[in-house]
Amino acid sequence: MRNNRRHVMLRLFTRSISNGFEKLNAWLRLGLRLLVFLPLLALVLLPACDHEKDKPGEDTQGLAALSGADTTGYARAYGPREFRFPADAGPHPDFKTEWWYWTGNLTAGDGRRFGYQFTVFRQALAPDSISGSEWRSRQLYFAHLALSDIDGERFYPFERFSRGVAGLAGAQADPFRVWIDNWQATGHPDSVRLFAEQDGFGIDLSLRATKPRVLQGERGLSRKSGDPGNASYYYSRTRQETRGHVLLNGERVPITGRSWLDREWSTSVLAEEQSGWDWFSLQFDDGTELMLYQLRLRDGGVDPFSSGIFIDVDGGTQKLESRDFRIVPRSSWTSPRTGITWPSGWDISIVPLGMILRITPMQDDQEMPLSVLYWEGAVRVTGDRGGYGYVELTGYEE
Amino acid sequence: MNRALLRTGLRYHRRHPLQAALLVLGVALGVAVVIGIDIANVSADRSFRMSTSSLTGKATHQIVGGPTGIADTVFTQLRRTTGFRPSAPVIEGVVQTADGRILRLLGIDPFSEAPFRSYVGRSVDFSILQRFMTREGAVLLSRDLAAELNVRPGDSLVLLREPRRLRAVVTALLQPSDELARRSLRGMIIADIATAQDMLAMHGRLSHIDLILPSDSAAAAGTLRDVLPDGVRIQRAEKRSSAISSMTEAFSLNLTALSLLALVVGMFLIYDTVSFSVVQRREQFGVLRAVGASRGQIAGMILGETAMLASAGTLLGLFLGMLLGSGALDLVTRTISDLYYTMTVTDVVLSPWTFIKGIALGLGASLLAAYPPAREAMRSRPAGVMRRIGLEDRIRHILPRLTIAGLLLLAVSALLIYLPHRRIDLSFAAVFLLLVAASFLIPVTLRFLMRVLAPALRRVLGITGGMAARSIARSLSRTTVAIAALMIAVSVIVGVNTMIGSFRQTVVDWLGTTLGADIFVTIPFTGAGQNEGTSPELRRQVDAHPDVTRTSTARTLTLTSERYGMHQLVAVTDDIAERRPFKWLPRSRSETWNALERGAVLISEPFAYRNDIAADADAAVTLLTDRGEQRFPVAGIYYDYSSDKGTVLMEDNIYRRFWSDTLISSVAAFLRPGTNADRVVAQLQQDLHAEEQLIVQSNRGLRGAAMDIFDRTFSITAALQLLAALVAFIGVFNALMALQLERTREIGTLRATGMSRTQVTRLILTETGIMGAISGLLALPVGFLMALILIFVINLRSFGWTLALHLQPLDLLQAFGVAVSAAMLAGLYPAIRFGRIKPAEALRAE
Repeated sequence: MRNNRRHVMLRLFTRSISNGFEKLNAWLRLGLRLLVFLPLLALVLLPACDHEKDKPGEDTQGLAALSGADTTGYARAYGPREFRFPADAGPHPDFKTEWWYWTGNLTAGDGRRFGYQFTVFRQALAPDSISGSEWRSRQLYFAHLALSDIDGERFYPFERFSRGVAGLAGAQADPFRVWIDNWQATGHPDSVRLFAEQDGFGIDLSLRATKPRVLQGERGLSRKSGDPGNASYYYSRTRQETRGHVLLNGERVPITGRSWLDREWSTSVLAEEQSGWDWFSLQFDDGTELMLYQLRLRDGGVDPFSSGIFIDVDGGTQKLESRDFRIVPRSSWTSPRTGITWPSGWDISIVPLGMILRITPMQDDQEMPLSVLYWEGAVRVTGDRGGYGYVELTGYEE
Repeated sequence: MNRALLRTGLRYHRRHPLQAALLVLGVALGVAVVIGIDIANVSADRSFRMSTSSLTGKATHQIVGGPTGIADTVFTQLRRTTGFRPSAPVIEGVVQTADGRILRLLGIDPFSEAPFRSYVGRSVDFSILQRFMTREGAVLLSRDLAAELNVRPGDSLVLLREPRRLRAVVTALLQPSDELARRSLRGMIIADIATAQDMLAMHGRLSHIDLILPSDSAAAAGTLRDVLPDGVRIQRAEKRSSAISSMTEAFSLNLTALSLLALVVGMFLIYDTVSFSVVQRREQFGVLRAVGASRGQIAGMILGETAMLASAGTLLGLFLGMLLGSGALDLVTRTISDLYYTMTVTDVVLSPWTFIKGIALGLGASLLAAYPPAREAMRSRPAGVMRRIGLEDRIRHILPRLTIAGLLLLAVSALLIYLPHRRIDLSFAAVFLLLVAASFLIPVTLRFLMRVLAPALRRVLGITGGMAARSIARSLSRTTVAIAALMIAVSVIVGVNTMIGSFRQTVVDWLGTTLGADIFVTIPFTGAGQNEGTSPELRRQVDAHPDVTRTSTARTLTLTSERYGMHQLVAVTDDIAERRPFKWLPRSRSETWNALERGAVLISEPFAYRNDIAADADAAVTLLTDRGEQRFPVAGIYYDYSSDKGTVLMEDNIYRRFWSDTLISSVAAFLRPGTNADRVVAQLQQDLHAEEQLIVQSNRGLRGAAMDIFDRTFSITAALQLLAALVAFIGVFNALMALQLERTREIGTLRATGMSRTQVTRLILTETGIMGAISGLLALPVGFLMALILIFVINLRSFGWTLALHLQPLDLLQAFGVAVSAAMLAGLYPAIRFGRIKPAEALRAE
């Protein structure tokens, strides 16, 4: 499941931090979606620091604050909980990590197609609030925005960071609002307005959920291992009717389409060996959805931890194990920007559903060349079912 | 150039090492003073630009506000409504380490910095970022600064932000990538914006917001301006540094002028020494010409050997200048920090231009000085060269022309003074012209004086007195230059001393009338433009003392405005200066205070001068307040010497109405009559120190402290003046001694014809004494004129101050004494030497 994938990423992230800065590259290669945390490491913001280990106590303490070994002071996901809304649409500041993750496929009146990704991440810097200046922040927010102009064959990725104080960035449940600067999601958990714009490109969208929430894992508790507390709270809105505009080089283009939201918060740590992953969220024209991910191991195999979920028209779900499906890349695309060769197009067969699908990227270049490097793009689905979706690829930079 | 001839020339110098040494030393000192000051100026300027540019980074514009900065909500507003990204909040302040090192504390938002400052780049470990943002007192230092302060990551560091003590923790060290960043970081501590707000007690405030606007910045600035509240504006990033550097310009120009003064004196010295060594060897040249050397060869020989000696002198001068420069730099930066802008890093910067200037001056002045004698030697026929009389004839011949030229120069100088302009450089040119004119007029004065004085001298000093007078008049070509050099040196001493003395006395008098209260409690001074303050609670604490009858507070701020550049704003609860001297006051004193309570302001003389505010009823100043632009009528112009930046003084309630600032800078207290102020000071010190590091001073103490700053400011001037005097002294010593040594044959004849040793000694000392006395006497009017120009023209044009002239008779007498004793000291060695030699030897020497 997607949450598992993210927790693996978090684990990798935290472990690599414990191993120190030298491991950064290795970690980069491992990077999964949570790699968006990488900006924090490769943060193009602080001076090149000498991290002298003259004071081991001081150092380990600092590292421990982030590393999995020490999550002291943070809340943990020990067991299933009652989800309450609108409260759970808002932030859970006592957990270390949280995100609001929107993706969607859009069509203009004249048939032009667009894809978008808008994600806001929250990362706690300290378990407790600190006195003094109002600018003293224990929460860090960062966001990614990407617009795929399919017919223009262009891709526009952007990112922002901010401290979660002084009104600069933050999240609240009622009225619902998640924002960094003027990038924001506002409204109500069932109908959200997204606005994010930079340099004449962006989105201004209204999202209305047409299917119930999908609680992932065990009633929304997504376990990452046998250790109690190594889990996250996780739900999705897999189908939201979307209207509004995309901003394309200053032009407001009216669009309609469908969006997908993932919400997850946790304070968990795992440890495992993966080289990266391929993740699929597909919305079929018949009103069903499919989510699949495959964790690639260093030895070229597929981690049995890989899994998926199928969501019926009425919201009923069917879990898929890694043995239930097979993903075969069909071709590849080499980025002229980074020189990385990404798979491009897949054939997927899902045995329990008796389904064979062909996934084709809407365009090759949907590479996110931000402070973290990954590929996240709109795709078309053909085969046994037709539709559109989003695919995320990480760990191909070797 | 003929090498054999050059060797001949140099051999002469080898045989007269003292002369050669004096030439080298003269050139060296002249060059040293000029490049020393140049190094100090260039370094100070570079350090200043570096510290401001490293602070500004790549920002093209800044959002700035009032004296206490801007509300931090302005930044939130900017980001939330426009999403404008190349924008970074900045907090800036000055802190001190426990051992007194001054550092700039820069508070930044790590998520906004990337586009702005070069030393913030590359990657950083997440744990460092986490600690940097969440730990109390977390700071980053450069590796260099950490080494200098002897701290390592994890160590804590005590910082003083008077009146508070702060504890900082070194989170990590910065390894700046380029040299500029490395240097500027040596004076800087970087903290998260929250930490900076805590440390500098600036909660809710920012110093400014940096912006990078696109090239069509007007449109971009327009959209941003729409979201800014009143009292907050967008200005070009270099605006602030240019405001400060225009303030320091007058200061460094004054320094440069003084160093050029030293050079003029140095040039006299070089001219003197070189021309003497040429003139003295007329016979040698005559012989060389007679044995077949061409005119060109002789000229080449003279210029060649001069160039060689001058090169040695110049090299030595460059070296001395570098030493001098690093010493002077401390004085210069201290003054700039006191008066204009706190400088945290001052490295000696050696600009190639400095050296080119020094070399050009050293060699140029020497060759220029050697040229007339060389031409002389070239033009004369072999036999003629041997006679000095030819030279003396020429002097006599050109005397009228020289005199007319002198008078013309004097007229030009006067013109430069009287023309209504504000150019400081032209004013200094007038001073130089005055000095040159005075030296042109020396021969004619000398001849006149000797003719008049000779009988008197004979009567008083006997035969040697008369002989001495005639001898001086006869050898004008030699004596003029020596007397001129000494005269100029002494007049510089007289002029600068009189100026400083007048300035000092004016300030002392002014302090006496302005500091009306008995006790002053102030926050410690950490440098210009810091705008620190303390809570008004302080006034209540002072009021609580049983002997205090009345208190008043002042808030003193340095502002930078589009209209008036950098200036001061003082807000007072009442005017403690009951006898404050006014330049223009249309109302009575009590009515004036009423006007102030209604929103009028007083402006200081420099403020009126700088901004051309005329003394009339319509005069007004327009200030940018936290409530937007406000026009304040001017109720009077007062004399003020506390700031050359200019000051606007307003009533406290008016200030609080227009500015969101509750702090105060000082409390003035009046005591019950007959109370011992020192006792109250001691008690208050004890009471107040419990909480804050405050400075409690009696009226007397504060005056002393003010005069300390005054003296510190002028220490560089005094040092330069001393150097000029030293250069002149060596020049005079050199010239007079050479002049006397040249007379070996004459003395021999005198001795042979029966003059006693004592008489010879007396003759020589009388002669040099007379020359010294004449220099001293002539220096008094010239120095006085120079003082007048410095006081009434240059000071006004540089700083906008009117000073009262205060002559110090003792100083004048002392200057005269210096001239006479310098001259007599120079005569001492020849006198002793001639006293010893036997007449026959002296005659044979020829």
